[in-house]
Amino acid sequence: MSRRSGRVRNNIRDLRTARGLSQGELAEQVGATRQTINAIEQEKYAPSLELAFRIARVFGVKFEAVWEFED
Amino acid sequence: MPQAERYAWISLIAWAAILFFLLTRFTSGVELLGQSFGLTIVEQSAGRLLWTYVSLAVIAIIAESVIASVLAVTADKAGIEKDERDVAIEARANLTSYWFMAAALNVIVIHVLANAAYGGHIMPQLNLTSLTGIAFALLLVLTLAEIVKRIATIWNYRAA
Repeated sequence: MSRRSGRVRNNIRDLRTARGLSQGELAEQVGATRQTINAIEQEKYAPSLELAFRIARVFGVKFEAVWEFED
Repeated sequence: MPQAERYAWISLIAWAAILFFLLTRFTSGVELLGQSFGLTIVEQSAGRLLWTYVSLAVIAIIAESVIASVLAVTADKAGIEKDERDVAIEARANLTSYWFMAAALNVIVIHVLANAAYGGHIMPQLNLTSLTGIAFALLLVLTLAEIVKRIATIWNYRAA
């Protein structure tokens, strides 16, 4: 069985800066560390579904407005 | 730098010192800082081995406790200390450490059995088949597994 690879992309940085939020402020609102938000923004770390939904909720947008799966 | 990564760096240094202590207690060969260590195992009595084991355990417990206490006092009180990424990295590091330990224990088993079967002619000079040798090998694996865990933690923080 072959393992399919893909990449989770996001536009958190654009949404965050548009709302004037710092990484630390966003981290606090979603219950993560600033380093984790930084790693997510750099697409080095793909968060859990729960954290991904929390982030979308903070921005007040739909899930797919923040996240995209690239095959 | 996340608190867990800082902890990994400091405890890596502590475990490197513990490894040095272990090598100086069990082996001889090269002289460094007034201590001798190398590829020759220094045979010891069971009582002395037990004493060395207890010393190592006490040093490790004290070192880990001091590091954890100092980091807890100096920690940034604002914000989250540990989140899902920290937990994931810790789990990955634990798994790496486990596989290292499993591989190392298999190497020891093969070494001891092959040494008994072939009389050590084709085996390396480092003889682990005596009481001291096997105690050293097992303690070395435990110490190296802790070091591997910290290196894997630091590596994963850099990579993800």
